[in-house]
Amino acid sequence: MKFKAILAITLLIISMAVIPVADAISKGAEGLNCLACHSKKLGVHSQLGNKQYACQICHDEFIMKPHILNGTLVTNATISNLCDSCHHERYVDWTLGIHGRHGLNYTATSKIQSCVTCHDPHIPDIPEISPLPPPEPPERSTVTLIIFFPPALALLMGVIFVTVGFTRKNGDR
Amino acid sequence: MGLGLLSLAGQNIIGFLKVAQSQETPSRNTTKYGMVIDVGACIGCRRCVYACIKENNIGRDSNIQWIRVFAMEPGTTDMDSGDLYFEEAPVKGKWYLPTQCMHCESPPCVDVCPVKATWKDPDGIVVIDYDKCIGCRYCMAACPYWARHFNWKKPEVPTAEITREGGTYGLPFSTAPLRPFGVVEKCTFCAHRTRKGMHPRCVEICPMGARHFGDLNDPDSEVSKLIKTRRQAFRLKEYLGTKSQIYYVV
Repeated sequence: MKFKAILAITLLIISMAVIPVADAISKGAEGLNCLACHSKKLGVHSQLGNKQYACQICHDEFIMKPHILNGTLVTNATISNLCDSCHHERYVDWTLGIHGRHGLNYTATSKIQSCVTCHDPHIPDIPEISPLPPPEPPERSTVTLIIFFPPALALLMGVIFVTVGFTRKNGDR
Repeated sequence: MGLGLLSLAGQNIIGFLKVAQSQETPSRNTTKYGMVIDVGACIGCRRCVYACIKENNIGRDSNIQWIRVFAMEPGTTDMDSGDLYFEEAPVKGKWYLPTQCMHCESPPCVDVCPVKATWKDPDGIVVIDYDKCIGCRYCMAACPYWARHFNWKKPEVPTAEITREGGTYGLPFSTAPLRPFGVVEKCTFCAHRTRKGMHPRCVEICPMGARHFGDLNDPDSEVSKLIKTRRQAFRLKEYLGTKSQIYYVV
C-alpha cells in the first residue's frame, strides 16, 4: 500500500517535471519561429493551425516548402492539392473547368492555371466592396394620393353638405 | 476582261454591303444560350446592374435597371418576397438573388404580343423589334419575372458613354443604339457580344465570379457542368412552366 502511494507520488512529480519540458518543446518549435524573419501578414489564413502554427499548416517545418496535410511536398504545379484540403468545393469546380479557366470567351477555355496564379495564399482576403445604390422606389402612387386626394375629399364633402342642406330645407318646408 | 472587272467590282460591293448590314454571326439552331448564377457566391454588390446600364445604353435618369438584385430571407426562393431596395450588403443571414430576363423556353410575353414585335430566336434569346413595338405593355403584365421595362422617355445617355451596339440584339435597327421612347425593353443576354462568342457584360464584370454563361445544349459547357455537379440547381417560378434559361445553383 505504502509502495503504491510512493509510486503514485513519484509519477505525479515526474509528470509535473515532464509537462514543462513538453511545453518547452512546443515553445521551441514556435521559438524557431518564422516571425523572427518574416512578418506575419496572412489575412484570413492567420486563423489556421490554432493561430499559433499558421505557417506550419502549409509549409514544411524543415524544408519550408509547401506540403499537403499528410506531409507530402508539393510544387507550384501541384499546389492546388494543398488548397483542396480546405477549399474542396472550389477545387472540384476547378478540376471540372468551371472555376478559373474561362477567359473573355465562353467558347474557348484558356490555359489551366493553378490556384496561386490568381489568388495570393498569404493574403487571401478578397477586398470588401460596398454595394452600389439601389433603384429609386416608385413614387407614383404617393404622388397620385397627394395630388388627387385633397380635391377629391373636398368635392365629396361639398356634395354631402349640399345634399344634407337640401334635405334639411325640404324637411323644414 | 471588262466584264470580269465589273463582276469583281460587283462582288466587292456586295461583300461590302453584307459587312455593313450585319457583322454578327447569325443565331444558330444548335445553341441554347443559358446562364447559371451561383447564389452562394453573390454578395449583392450590384456591379452587374450598373455595368449593364452602361453596356446597353439604358437611360441614366430613367430609373430602369434590366437586372434587379433582391436581398432574400433564408429558406425562400420566392422573388416577390425579396427586398429590392437594400442599402447594405452583404448582410449576414441574407442571400442575394439577381434576376433579369430569363429568356424562357415558352415565354408568356411572346404569346401576348398583339403585333408580334417580340419573339424567340433559334439560339434561345427572346428579342424585341423596337421598330414594331407599339408600347401596349401587355408583355410587361405577362412577364412573371418583371423583366420588361417601359421607356417613358427617350433614354438620355452622355454622348461619350454610348456603346455602339448596346441593347440592339445584334440586329441592324434604324433606331440603334439608343431606343426610342414608348417601347418596351429588356435584357438581351448582350446578344451583340454573345453571338460573337464573348461573355455578356454582367458575367464579365462580376467580381465574385458568380455568373456563368454558355451553351445549355453542349454537355461540356461550363453551365451544363454546373447544373449537373452542384448539389442544388433551381429556376425561378418553375411552377409556371416558363422553363427559364437562367439557372441558380448553390
